[in-house]
Amino acid sequence: MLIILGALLLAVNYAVFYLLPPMEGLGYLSRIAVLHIPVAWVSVLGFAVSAFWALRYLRKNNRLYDIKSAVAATLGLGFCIAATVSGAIFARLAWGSFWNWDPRQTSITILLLTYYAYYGLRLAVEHEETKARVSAVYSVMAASTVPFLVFIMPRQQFSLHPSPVINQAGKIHMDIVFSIVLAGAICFCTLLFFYMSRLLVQKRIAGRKNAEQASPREEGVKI
Amino acid sequence: MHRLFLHSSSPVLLLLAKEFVSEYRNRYACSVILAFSVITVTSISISLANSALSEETESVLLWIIIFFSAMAGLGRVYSTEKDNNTLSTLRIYCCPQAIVFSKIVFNTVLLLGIACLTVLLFAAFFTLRVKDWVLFTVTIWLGVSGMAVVSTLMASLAAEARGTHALFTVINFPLLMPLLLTVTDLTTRSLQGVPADFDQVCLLIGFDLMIAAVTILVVEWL
Amino acid sequence: MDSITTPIMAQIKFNNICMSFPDKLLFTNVNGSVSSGECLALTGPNGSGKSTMIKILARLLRQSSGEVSITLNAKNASDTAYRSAIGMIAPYLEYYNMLTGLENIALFSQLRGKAYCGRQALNLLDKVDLRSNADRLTQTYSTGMKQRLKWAVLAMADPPIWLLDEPFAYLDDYGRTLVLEMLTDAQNRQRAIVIATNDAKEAKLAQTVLTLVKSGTFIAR
Repeated sequence: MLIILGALLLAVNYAVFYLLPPMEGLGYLSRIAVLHIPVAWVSVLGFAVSAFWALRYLRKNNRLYDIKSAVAATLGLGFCIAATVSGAIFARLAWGSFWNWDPRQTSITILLLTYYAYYGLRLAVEHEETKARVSAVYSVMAASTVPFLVFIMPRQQFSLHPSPVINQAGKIHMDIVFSIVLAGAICFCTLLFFYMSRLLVQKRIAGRKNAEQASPREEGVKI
Repeated sequence: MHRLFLHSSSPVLLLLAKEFVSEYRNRYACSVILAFSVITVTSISISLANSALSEETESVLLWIIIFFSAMAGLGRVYSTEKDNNTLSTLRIYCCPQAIVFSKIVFNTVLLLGIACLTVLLFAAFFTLRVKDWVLFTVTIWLGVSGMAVVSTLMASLAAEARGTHALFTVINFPLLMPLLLTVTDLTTRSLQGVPADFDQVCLLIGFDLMIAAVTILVVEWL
Repeated sequence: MDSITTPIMAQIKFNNICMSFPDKLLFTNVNGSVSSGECLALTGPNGSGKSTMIKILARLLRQSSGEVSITLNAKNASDTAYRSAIGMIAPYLEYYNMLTGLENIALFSQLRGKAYCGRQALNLLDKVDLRSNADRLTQTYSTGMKQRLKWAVLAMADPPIWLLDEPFAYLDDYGRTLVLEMLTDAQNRQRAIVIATNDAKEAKLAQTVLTLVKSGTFIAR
């Protein structure tokens, strides 16, 4: 898995710097898009995955699902920060200012706030099972508002943000090379997300097992 | 024997009656919200000292005050139950759907009251000239319903947490942002007399429906 | 005074209940069952998990493993039926401060689907000596009065299975005699009763006694 990731990373990097022609209107700035779009996509994916595991936890009450849900949210937060920063850098380079509350910038900020609120909620509840149940419900609700923020609202208002890949006409207005490189980058980020999820989940399970063994537990006495 | 108001075969109506009577008898939420609205509007009015507000500013202020009044008063439905140890009793005697639904209805009525009050205060202190009453009322209605439903669910989550009331506002705000952005825009249009953007009204209705669907989905785990 | 219906034969059964928290194992392998007309007492020192066990039976808490089931007239109860089959008294379950005693009784019995009968409610309040306070808000009651109100509400709702956690708490001798009468009456009316208590005297009211030992397992006597 690591090899695939490494290979993809190298391939995408090479393509971005050597193969990609400048995009019309944006010039070489389109290179940031190859970073920004996949990362933004994964930050939305983070919500979806988190909500999926949250719903499974609510149904089955298996603590593992709760761990998976929380890990997805953690990674989603990381990718969301990356998306915000890369977007701001792009805005500065393309239009002169880091932040002007463009609808897309507003959306990504709200996404960040939602992830932050999820964490606040998890930290505030002490009892384990209640914490899991409460954050699962919140995760499901958050995921239901995300489509409004990301897909619907920014399309209704005028935005400087370049038109998204999945636009109304259903066609992809992009150079073929760019599309391939972008697809590669999206694959890379998605695979990275799932790979890191698996690592983090295993780490948390191991950490929990260690904590359980380390603490002095009162054992039953068989009579 | 005196007449008993709590006479019904429907659990929802029973719990609703209980909420309204409890509120009437100690007026905890009402007074907090009333105080909040009045203080906010008067302090803004004093600070502005008669200078005019643009329609956009008025609309934004209106919704901010409604939102924060909601944050002040809507958490009560669950936080007082948790503090008084009555929530577990309810859970034993009653199904979760009835509990949540009765609280949603109560909060919607309460928030509608807040919204009307705030609009009246605005009319008194600022020049609130509504050019499109239909749009104005529909927006307030849809916005308030959505806000009340989300707030009730968040109240049930925040009640489980120890600590400050601030958590309730923090978890509510991001979820309500799409709603707030849309309703402020629609209200501005109604104040300006500009025709409504149909897409936005659809978004509002869609949001409310989506929230209702999610509520039905998660209600048993609240 | 009771409505003329055939009594429901109820049984609550728990198998291999194990409860553990991240830092502590509370108890393992708890088994037992209580049928209509029987009374089970859960005893043990403080911290042994009596309240936790009762909460598990009431489905307020989820056990780590094992199962609890209720059968009504020899049929397994669904989730809704489970909830309607139990009633509970506990120090951590209160009634509404902003309602009067009578209103509380009316609310909770109607939530259980029982038609409200004013005379029956007042008679019950009479039995627990709260008749004169029936129209006062519960927040004005003393702790002893609140405890007696809990008994009145439970008796009014009258479910097949009664779960009692420290049911005689806060009661003076007079109050204790009053509610003891209600308890024996409930047993005579074929209610299945589980009592969690610290008091050995109260445990003697039951036919079966399950003792939770501090070190985590059970002895049934």
